[in-house]
Order: sequence, then C-alpha cells, then structure tokens
Amino acid sequence: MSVSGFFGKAGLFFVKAARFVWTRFLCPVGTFFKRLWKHRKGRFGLIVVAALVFFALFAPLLTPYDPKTPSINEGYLPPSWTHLLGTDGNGVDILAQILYGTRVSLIIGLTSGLCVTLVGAFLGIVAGYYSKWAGGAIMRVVDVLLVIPTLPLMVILHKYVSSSYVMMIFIFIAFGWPGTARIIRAQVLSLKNGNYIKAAELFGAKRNYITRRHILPAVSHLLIMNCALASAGFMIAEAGLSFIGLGDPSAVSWGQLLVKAEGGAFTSRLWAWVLAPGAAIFFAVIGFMQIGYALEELLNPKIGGTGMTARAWGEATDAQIEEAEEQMREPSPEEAAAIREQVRSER
Amino acid sequence: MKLRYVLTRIFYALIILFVVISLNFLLPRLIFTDPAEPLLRGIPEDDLILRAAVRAEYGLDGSLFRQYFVYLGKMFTFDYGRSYVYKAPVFSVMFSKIPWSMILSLSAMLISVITGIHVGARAAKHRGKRPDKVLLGAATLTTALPSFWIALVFMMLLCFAVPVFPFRGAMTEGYSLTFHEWIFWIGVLLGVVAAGVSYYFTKKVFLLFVVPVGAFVLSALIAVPPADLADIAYHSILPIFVLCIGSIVSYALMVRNSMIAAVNEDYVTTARAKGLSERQVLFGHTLRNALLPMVTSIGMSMAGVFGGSVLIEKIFAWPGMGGLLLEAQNVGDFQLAQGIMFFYSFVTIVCNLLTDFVYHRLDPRVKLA
Amino acid sequence: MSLLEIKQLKIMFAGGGGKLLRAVENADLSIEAGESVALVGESGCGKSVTGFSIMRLLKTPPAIVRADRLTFDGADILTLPEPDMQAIRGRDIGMIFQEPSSALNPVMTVGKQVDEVFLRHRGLKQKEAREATVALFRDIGISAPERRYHQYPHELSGGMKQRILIATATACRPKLLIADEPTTALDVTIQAQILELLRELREKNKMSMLLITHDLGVVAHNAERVHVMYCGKIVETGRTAEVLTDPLHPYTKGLLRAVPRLGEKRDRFEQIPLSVPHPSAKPEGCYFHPRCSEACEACKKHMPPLMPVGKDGARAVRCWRSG
Repeated sequence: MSVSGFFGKAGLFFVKAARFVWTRFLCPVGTFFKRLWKHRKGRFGLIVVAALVFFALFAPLLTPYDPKTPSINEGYLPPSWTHLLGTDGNGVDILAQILYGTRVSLIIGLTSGLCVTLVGAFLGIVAGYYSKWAGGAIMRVVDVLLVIPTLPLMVILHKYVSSSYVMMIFIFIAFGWPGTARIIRAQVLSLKNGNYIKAAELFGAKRNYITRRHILPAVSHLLIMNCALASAGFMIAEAGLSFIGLGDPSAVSWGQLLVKAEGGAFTSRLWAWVLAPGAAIFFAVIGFMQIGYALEELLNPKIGGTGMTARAWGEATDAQIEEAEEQMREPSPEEAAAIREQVRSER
Repeated sequence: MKLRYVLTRIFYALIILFVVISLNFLLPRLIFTDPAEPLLRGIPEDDLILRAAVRAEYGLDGSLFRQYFVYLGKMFTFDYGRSYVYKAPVFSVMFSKIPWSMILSLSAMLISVITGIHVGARAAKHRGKRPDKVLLGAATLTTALPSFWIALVFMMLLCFAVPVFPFRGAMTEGYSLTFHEWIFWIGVLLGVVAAGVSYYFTKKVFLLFVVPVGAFVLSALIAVPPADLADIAYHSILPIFVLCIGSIVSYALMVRNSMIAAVNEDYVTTARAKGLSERQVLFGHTLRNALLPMVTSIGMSMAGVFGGSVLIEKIFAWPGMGGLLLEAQNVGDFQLAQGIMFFYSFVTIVCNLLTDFVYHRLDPRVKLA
Repeated sequence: MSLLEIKQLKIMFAGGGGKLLRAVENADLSIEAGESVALVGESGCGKSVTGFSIMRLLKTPPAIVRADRLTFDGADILTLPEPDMQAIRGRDIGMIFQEPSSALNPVMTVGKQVDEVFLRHRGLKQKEAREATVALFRDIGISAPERRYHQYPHELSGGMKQRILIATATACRPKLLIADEPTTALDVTIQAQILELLRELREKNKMSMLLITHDLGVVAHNAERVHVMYCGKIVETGRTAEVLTDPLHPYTKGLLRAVPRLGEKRDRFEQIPLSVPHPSAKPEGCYFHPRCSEACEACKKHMPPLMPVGKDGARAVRCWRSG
C-alpha cells in the first residue's frame, strides 16, 4: 500500500466520520437549538439556562470571595459595595454562595431529571409495549412506590446514610421514575392500538423497529417536557430537603443558604439573604420550565401547546363587520338582470 | 358485580399495605446499621442484661425473621412501638399531633378548594382576559417558587418587618392548653360513621365530604376551651394563608383547564338546547364534569391533611405531624419515624381506595377492574 | 305568517388573527307550520351554524349573527331577552345533534337528562317528571323504559342514544324540530328507524322540521322543500322532488351525479373537481366558479343573486347560466 493511498484511506475515513458526526449529531442538535431559539419561550429559557451554566462554570472568576471560608469579623453584614448581597453569620459572602450554589442546583436538577426520564421512559415502554408479564410487575412496583411517602422515608434513611448529594439524587431517581413510567405507559398503550402501528406489525416490522420509528417519536414531546419539568422540580426539592436538614450541611447550595437565613437573617433584618436564594431558584426553575413548554409546543404538532397560554376569543371591530357585510353584498335585481342579459348574449 | 369490584380493590389495597409494611421493616434494617443503636447509646457496653432488656422491649432482639413476625403482629394490633423521646406509645404520640396538623391543612384545603373553584371558573369564563392572565401568571410564580420560600418571605414581612402575626408555635408561649384529645377523636370517628350512614341512605356523594369536615370542626370546637380558640386561630392565620397560596392556584388551574375543555363538549350544547338557564347548565353539566379531576386531586391530598406539611410546620414551629417527623429525625427516634411512615402509607392507601370508589360513583364510565 | 322566517341571515366568526370568517351569507329560509324543510350541503358549508343560530346557541363572540329578520312564531330571536329565549329552547324548538354519543352527558343517567326538560318547562315535581319520562320512552319505542331510565349513556347503543335525544328534544311537543345530521353517525338500518320515528312524531305532533344533512337520500323522503347550501350561500331552493329530478345549479347537479343509483353500471362516480374553498379564501365572483365546468367571465366577477325560476316562486337558483 502506497503512502498516499494510506493517507487517502485515512483521510476518507476521517471525512466519513466527520460527516457522520455532523449529520447524525451536530446538525440535528444545531437545528434543534435554532428552532428553540426562534420560539419566544424557548429563547427565554435558553438564555436563562445558558446564564446558569455560565455562573456555575465561572463562579470563581465572578466573585473574589470563597463560598466556604469564614471570616469571623465580617458576620451579618448588610449589602454594601464590597459584599453586594451582604454576608452570612460566618462572614461568608452571600453572592459568592449564590453563584457557587448554581453548581449544586444544576447538577442535581439535570442529573435526576435526565435519569428519571430515561428510567421512566424505558420501563414505561417495556411495560406498555413489550412484555405483559414484565409490564404487570413494573406497574405493581409503581403502585407501591407511589404510595410510600417519600419524605418520611428520606428522614429515616437520612439517619443511616451520611448526607450527600449522590444519595439525594439516587433517592430522587428511585422515587421519581414511577410517575414518568405511568405517563409513558398510558401513552404507549393508546398508541399500541393505533392503526398505523398495527399496520407496521402486519408488514412484519420488529418490535424494536416500531419502538424506534413510531413509539419513541410519538412520546418524545412528553419525554422532553417531562425532563425539563422534572429537572425544575428537583431543583426545588433540593432546596426544600436542604431546608429541613436533609441536605449536606457543608455544601454550598441555595437550600443551605436559606437554612442559615432562617437562623440569622430575620433577627438581623438581612432581607437580601432570604430574597436572593429564592430569586435564584425562581429563575432557574422558570428557565427550565419555559424550555419544557417551548419544546412541547414545537414537538407536539397536534395540540400546539399546553393550553397554558391565555388566548382570548377573537373580537371584531364594527369596521370589520361592515367590511364583511360589504363583501357579502349581492347585485341588485336590476344589476343582476343586466349581467344575465350579457351572459345570454355571449352564449 | 359491584360488590366484587369493591372486594377486589380492598384486597389489592391490603396487598400493597403488606408490601409497604415489609419495606418499612426491611429498608432500615437491611441496608443500614442496627436500629437499636441510638437506644443503647446511654447504656454502658458491659451491661448486657439491660441492653438485652431494652432490645426486647422494642422488639429488636433475635433473628430478622423473628423480628419481622413480631413487627407484623404489632402492626395488626395497632402497636407501633414506643417513642424514646416522648416515653409513650408512638400511636398516642401521633394521635396527639394529628389534630394540630389538621387544623392547618384541613382549613387550608377547604379554603383553597372553594376559592380555587371560584377563581378557576372565573378564569375559564373570561378566557384570555384579565382574570385568566392573572391566574396563569400566579401559576407560573407558585410553581417556580418553593412554597417554603414564599412562607419565609411572608414571615419576614408580617412577623418581622411589620410584626402583625406571631412567628412560632400554635399558642402563646408559656401557656399550657387543655386539649381533650379523646373528645376530638370520638367526634371525628362519629363524623366518619355518620358520613357513611348518611351516604348509604341518601346516595349523595357530597355528604361524604361535608359530614366528616363538619364533625371535625365541631369536635375541635368542643375539645378546646373557648378561651384558647382565639389564640390558636390567631397563630394559625399566617400558616394557613401560606399553605393556601400554592394550592388555590393549582386547584384553580385544574378547574380552569377542565372547564375550558368542558364548555366545548356537545352535551353542554344539548343542555342549553333544552332551555336550561346558564346557572343550571353550569352546575348541572359544565362544572359537574369539570370537577371530576378534582375529586382525584383532593383524594390524593387527603393523606397530607392528616400528615401535615413538614416545611410549613417547621418554619412556624407548629406542633403537628410534620414537626414530629423532623423531631424524630433530629433525635434519632427510630420507632417514631417508622410509625409515622407507616401512618402516612396507611392513610395514603385508604384515601386512594376511597377516592377510587367515590370517583367510580361519580363517573360511571370508569371500568370496573 | 310562517312559523320560522329568516331573511338575509349573516353569520361571521372572529378568528384569532383579527380575521373575520364569513360562515353564512345572506341566507333566506322560511318554514311553515307542519312543514319539513331540508338544508343540504357539504360539511363546513354553514348549514349547522344556521341551525344553531335559530336556537341562538352560537357563542358570541366569536360568532357575529346579523339578519334583516329572524323570527320564530312572531318572536324576534335576535333581540329576545335571554330568559324568554331559554323558555323557547326545548319547549317550542327542539334540537337533535349529529353525534349522539357526545351529546349526552356521560356522568348522568339518561332518564335524569330527559327529566330536566320536564322540570324546566312543565314545572313538574321530580317524581312526576320521572313518570313523564318513562311514559315518553315508551311512546318513542324504547324497550324496557324503566330500566333505560337508570342507565348511563355509555351503556346504550348509538341508535338508542339518538332515540333518547329525540325524546329530549320532543318532550314538550315543540312546534319546530331542528335535526342536525340526525342519522350521520348511525348504521344504515338504524338510520331508517330513526327517520321513521321522526316522521311519526311529526305527523302526530304537527311538528315542523328543519332537517340539516349532507345526505340527498335522506332529503328525498323526509323533506317537502330543500335548500342547497355551498360556502355559506344558498345556491338552490325548491320543492324536493323538483330539485332532485331537475337540478338547475351546477353544484346540485354535481352532487346528484355523485349519488350511486341502483341498477346503474358505472366504473367511476363522477366527482366535482377541486375541493371546497376555506372560508377565509373564498374566490371572487360566484364561489363555485373554480369548480364549475360551465363557468363564464361573468361568473368570475359577479356573485349571482338567488334568482326565482318559474311562476310560483318556490324555485330559485343562484347561477348566471341558468334559465
């Protein structure tokens, strides 16, 4: 094999590989984001989430303070130019904690949201389309898991597990998937009886093929919406659990900031300390929710929206009505007679 | 046919209950350390006799199997063990806390259901106009903000910035209350029986909701000395208000969406074509059908009515079930936490069962499984 | 004076984008006491909307209803106060709908749904209403009326549900029955029974009927006069027999050619080319001209008025080329 031939082959391989990555992966993702960007809600969500990712990645560059190092002399400071949102009881800058806290919220929200959706979708589709037996078993587990009260369970487990975010994510997934699985299964069951899937089965299509070509695309809008909303929900849940003492007290998170605020902010009247974490949670959740709604509107061609938008009945102005009535005007008998004469003569 | 359906559902619920009880027993034991450990903390290592006695008292001795059967037997005789903090049976500790939770959550639920229906119906009627836009905006706010943060902000405003309301507890501090629990529980029990009986004779579903609630209010009024009522009411205003905010919006949104779907149904047109007045159409057909999803939702939140809201009770230091759960966690009262978890699961299962029955009664299309 | 008189009825819908859709344009219609009149057309031509406007059941907004005259039994439906209109609905005018399964409230027993009419218009007590309903069920040929009374819609067949709806609509022996596609959703054998029932009721109660349908076969045996509607305009009207045997408007001719006939051998049914224009994109001139094989220059420019044909004034057609 000649050298140039070798390079030629390798070059061809690289071109092919690059084209594969481009067409199969980058292009769809690119158009996906482009479509999302064109949507009003989608653009808002993208901007917010991009900002959150930016804060999480570049937190050390955005604030000079460390979110963990206490400085005893600077406790309970009100907002000022040096500490924009003030400091907490240990003299730690609150803005720094908010910025670093983005990391915890994003990681917990995204990881649990994604995993819950994947697990729920997988088990939901298996339960709905593959095996009747496995389906029954899965749904029984769902029934039990939906009855078990999550919060007391977490309280019990917490006593025996060192509090860590890995554990929290694990429990979110363990108790989050049944809801998703139930929704997906219901959707799959109704799809399964659809004539086009029966037709595909009659033509000899394999189950995996039908799942890939018909079922997955049909539930994709539900999945994506579910993922976005679940991520948002878990971000709130993290704050709530931290607040009742089920989080990692040494971590820097929005929930932990609020726990400390309950202890110190009220009596020292540091309003920014309470308001800032709430605002941070609000923006993060809104960002994810807007992306979820936007994707649902884009991906679900049938309903074109969740009905969550306020749409008024059309109302017409008098001028419009007059115009329409004018358009309806018909020739008077005299005009009609004339036109009719003309038509007759032409014939 | 009907009886068979009811029996199947009950049987099914019992199986789930059994599974939950077993999980409740196994989870802490299998995965983690010895549940007796916090009990034995104060006792010297070498006092083996006392250690064994404590283990025996809490049913924590012998093999897992033995413990399991002892545990099962206790569950069926309503013996949920003893709380080490309160030095009393878990059962009675819980029953002294539940009324406090109910004061908050039941009032909040009543207020939010009624307000939610009104707001939702109004928004649906003026779809796209101001009431609707306000509701949708509020929905975005309340779903995106953690409820406990909203509570903190209101506390900050109304207890600290403008100190109008007390910020902790259910009564003025240093004040002991004579609360006749037994009167209360007998009243509630009578209410439940009365609801069943009145439903059996009249077949009016709303009695199943109205009679127990009435009994609860009445027995609470009787059980608490009148002088303390005002104090408790004053302390409960802010927590109830905070609890209402989120649930009003979610109920209203549900009513709005199902109303919008219902007004376009053909049967509503039929009802109008019969010459019924707008009021008759609304109450007889539109609202009636639009409220069906709410029955499920109320049924699901019934468990929360007994269990209380952990976050809100923590913020306002309210002496209810939620607070009890956190207390159990903080001091490591294992049996108490387990008892609470069993109680939550039990109430959830029973409420789901009842909801299924009521829903089936209201919507006969639901298949008899 | 006719029982129902409609002159120059115009119905418009305000769309979402500030656009006004014209659903019914300048429709004239009258029904004498005891008479049965059919309104025929394709779906979306405005025939159902016309029926709803007589009952004043259109939601306004988005609907806008204008007419030079819209009277029922001397009462002006356009200006009648709402309580008076409610008193007319169900008592003097009954209405039955296309889809019997969705026109009944699924969570109410059918008996209760019929009771409502008696409770509302006859002022009966609940118990009397129940007796009246059961008696009505028996009259209308519903088997086991006592048992049916307690059943829910999902437990009944489509034909039975339509009977219940007919019972509801005719409970107070109305002067006019508006039947909006009464047989479309039913099996052919059931269709015949339902039409037979309607005919009996009409004869017994001396009831007028406005039969709204797309089925020319139904029209032939059940209506004395017929109005053909296309794109919101009445394009041809006359006695049923005359219109069906000697259609004047190209659209009516097209419709009739598309009906299969017994004993006739054809490879293909003729169809009218193209499809019905969307209400927001109605063509200039005669709305039918893009689909009409006889269209001339005038048809493309001017909308023809409904021009009387013959001497007795019963026949009229909206076409420049006729006559």
